[in-house]
Amino acid sequence: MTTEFGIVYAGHIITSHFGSVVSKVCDCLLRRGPLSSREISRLAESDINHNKVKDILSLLIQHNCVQAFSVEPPDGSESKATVQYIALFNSILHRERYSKFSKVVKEELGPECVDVLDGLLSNGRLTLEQMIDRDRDRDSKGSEVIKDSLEKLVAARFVERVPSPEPVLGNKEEGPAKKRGGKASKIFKEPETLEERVLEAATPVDAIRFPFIFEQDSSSTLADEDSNISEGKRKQPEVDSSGPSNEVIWRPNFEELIRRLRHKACVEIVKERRDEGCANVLKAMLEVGRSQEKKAKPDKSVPVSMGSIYEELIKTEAGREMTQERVEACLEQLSATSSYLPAFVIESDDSYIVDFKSIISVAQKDEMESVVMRRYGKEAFRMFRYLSQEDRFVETDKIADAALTEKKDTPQILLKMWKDGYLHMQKLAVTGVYMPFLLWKVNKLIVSRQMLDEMYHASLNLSLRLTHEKGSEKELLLLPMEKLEGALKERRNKYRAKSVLLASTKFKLDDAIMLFHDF
Amino acid sequence: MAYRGGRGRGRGGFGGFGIEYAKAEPFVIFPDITLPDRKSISDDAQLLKNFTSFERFWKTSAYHLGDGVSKKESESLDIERFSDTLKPTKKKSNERGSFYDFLVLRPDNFPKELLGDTRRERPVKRARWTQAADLHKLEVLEKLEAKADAKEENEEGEGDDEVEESEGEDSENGDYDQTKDFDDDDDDYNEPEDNDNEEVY
Repeated sequence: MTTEFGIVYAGHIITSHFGSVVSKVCDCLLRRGPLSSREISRLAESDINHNKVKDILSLLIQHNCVQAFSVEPPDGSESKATVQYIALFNSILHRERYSKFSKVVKEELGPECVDVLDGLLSNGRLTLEQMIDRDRDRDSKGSEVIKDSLEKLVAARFVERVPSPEPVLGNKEEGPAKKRGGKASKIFKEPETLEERVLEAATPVDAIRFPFIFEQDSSSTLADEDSNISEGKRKQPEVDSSGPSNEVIWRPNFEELIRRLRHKACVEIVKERRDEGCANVLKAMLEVGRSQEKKAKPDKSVPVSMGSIYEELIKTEAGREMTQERVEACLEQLSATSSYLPAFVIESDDSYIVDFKSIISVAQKDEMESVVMRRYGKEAFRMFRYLSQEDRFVETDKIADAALTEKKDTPQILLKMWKDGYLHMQKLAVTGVYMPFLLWKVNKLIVSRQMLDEMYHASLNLSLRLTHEKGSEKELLLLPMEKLEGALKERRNKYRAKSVLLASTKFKLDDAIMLFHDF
Repeated sequence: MAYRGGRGRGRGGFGGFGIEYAKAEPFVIFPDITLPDRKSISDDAQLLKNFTSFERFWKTSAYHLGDGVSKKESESLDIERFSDTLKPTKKKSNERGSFYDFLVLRPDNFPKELLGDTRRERPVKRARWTQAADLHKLEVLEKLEAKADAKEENEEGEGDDEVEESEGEDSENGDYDQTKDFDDDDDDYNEPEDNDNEEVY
């Protein structure tokens, strides 16, 4: 969801990493949608010459912040398709989370792989040759180590081949609007955005996207006849068989990195609301099903059998301590719906399916309610909770009854929430009655959007404050720390405490942003 | 963004007519607000360290195009010394090199429109992946030249001390992220072990 402050925040990130001229191009694309390079040159704040725009676009594409595409001209038309560029809002925001991606990969694959990934995150796109070159300038671990790390990263799908540089979209005008749900929800359901369509068109099939994996896949049913071929291929890795000018160009696969963070978040949510045992069981289920998750944000996982859960569990120490009864009990608990918690797992024919949507929505609900509680008070919170549960339009008096508030105070509280975008309101005129009835509803999508905008704003403020603090102490920061004494040292320590707090707060806030936007 | 408070200052100018259309408030860049408990935020040293190095990398890399118009002013906050005029002038404009050194300009990577430019020199000269390696060499060269050129000058003594000190520090720190020539971030999170002079972010 691109909101006003989302755009400002994204612009700030680009300015801080690449400078203000790059940010002008990016801002132009974010605000006006996809444009051709000539249009950007003309429309960007303070005209930028066409060649400079092309340079900047190359830079942004290198860092995966922009994707080019063209739209197929209508049938029978003689005109050539012009290349347009679209800013990838999600990818720009990911830049503030690279340290989290790094951490996840370090935990899973170790420091050498992290080094290669960090190179990709810093530079956007690299060939194996460039990675080896870069390594020579730094620690010089050797090309074998680099190649090995890259293979591991691709096998785990953390790294992928770069997408198609200029996919052609079919020229159907209307986005495929999903027709599920009632009439009200149809209006607010987000249709597949152009950004999503472009990215889908640009993404190659898995075989091309993750080349090594495909060659090493010996678990397929065609293993017998293919194994000889794949063995042969493995001896000649793709790098050697093709010259340097045909080397694969790699980039980080944000989809998989976000998926890991999503799984981690789900395990945390379950741990907080159930217990550690259930969290371990869920973790095992997610591990088993992960490689088969095709979509970026699936609502449900693939079905997982009891046996495979068990197999996965015994790999960890904590899992080994769980008896079969305990595991079964946990699964029962996870599948149960109570008045205050929905089911996190669905049981079907001896298999279990993780319901991501349910888990995430529980955490989102808690965040929303906590904001309402803190901002508008306990009574407003009760009303908000009641309305979210009802999930339909309710009139003022009924809300007052349910929330145990005074009938005369209720409209004011509701109006306050409505003014800030947390409630949806409808007026119902009834003949014979002077005052129209007011009907209220909580629309989760609108509230999410409102909250996201506020969170982007907050994150922006934190970044600005951090920059401001750093700027204020510019001279102090040039001095080596161990040579400071007395008052200067105090000031230095104070600065350090401030910057640690501001940065840590940003990370925590970013977790909440991901909860509403990426998970 | 941070200009919210600025409105007060702007409108205050009308006060001269005798009728105050708006109260002129002093401009406070970050007004006080009630903040939550500091302890509710946990610090993750690893995340902080990585975050700092990424930020530092981008700000000092060839990818940072600045405002794209003017040449970058000297970022050094040292006072100007006479001995500076004797040092060979650093060519700031080439310091970072072109970011095109790092891009693989192929049709399977970039759209044709952006590749059409044949102004780029090819084959690409060897890209500099870290700033430290090159700058160290640059420093060594400068030292030698300064020593050779400025033997008679008194200020040379100052210059040498400065240069020796920097050489000493550099030889202790081998990591790429510990260059001293930028007004860089300090790596505060490994404070006890590190002895570099970098700024924290």
